[in-house]
Amino acid sequence: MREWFAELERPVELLVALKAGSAAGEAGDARPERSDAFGVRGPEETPRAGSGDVDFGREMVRVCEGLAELGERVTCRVEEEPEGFPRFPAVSVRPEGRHVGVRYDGLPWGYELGSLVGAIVEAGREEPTLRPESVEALQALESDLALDVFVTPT
Amino acid sequence: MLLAFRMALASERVTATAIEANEFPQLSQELGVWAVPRIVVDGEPRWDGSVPEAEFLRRILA
Repeated sequence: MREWFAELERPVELLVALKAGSAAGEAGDARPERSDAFGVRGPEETPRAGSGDVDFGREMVRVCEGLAELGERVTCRVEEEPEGFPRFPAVSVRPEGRHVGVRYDGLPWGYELGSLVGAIVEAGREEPTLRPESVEALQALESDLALDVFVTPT
Repeated sequence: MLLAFRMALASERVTATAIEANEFPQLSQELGVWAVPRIVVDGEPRWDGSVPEAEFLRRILA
């Protein structure tokens, strides 16, 4: 992984979004309701595991800070309920600190950690790795397109 | 998942979000997520499973 991150052509920031209060390990206060494209009311937060001893927010910070330690061009920043995040915890992958619409909602563990690592590697490239005809078609879009991919760790 | 991320990085018009289905059961239930990966386009469930780049593109632009 260090070798992949050493080859990044530009810096990549991981913006970790936590529910308010969770950074301090406390229960979050009630937040104003809001909806996202799915019409979900209020920010959904990862429920505690059955034993209650897994803090997904803290684990997300630990994972992202750990990834940042593996490459000089990878940095990690943590915010509580930043704008544009409907679920927590989440991490936005930002080339040169810019919002480009690449996000992972939930803790990427198991096999899915590879998806986050892959996103970092891709965000660190100056040029898209898609086929030229795919890039051309996507850049010709005249309206926004939201892709959501539901995944599981296995 | 990586394909969707690549598409978001290739176009300012595209956003790509991976959603851990087990961690957000409310949303997963609303969208009837029984198999993964489930691909949702503009809030509408479209298909389950991985497909090659050209087919992925064809489906999301359809």
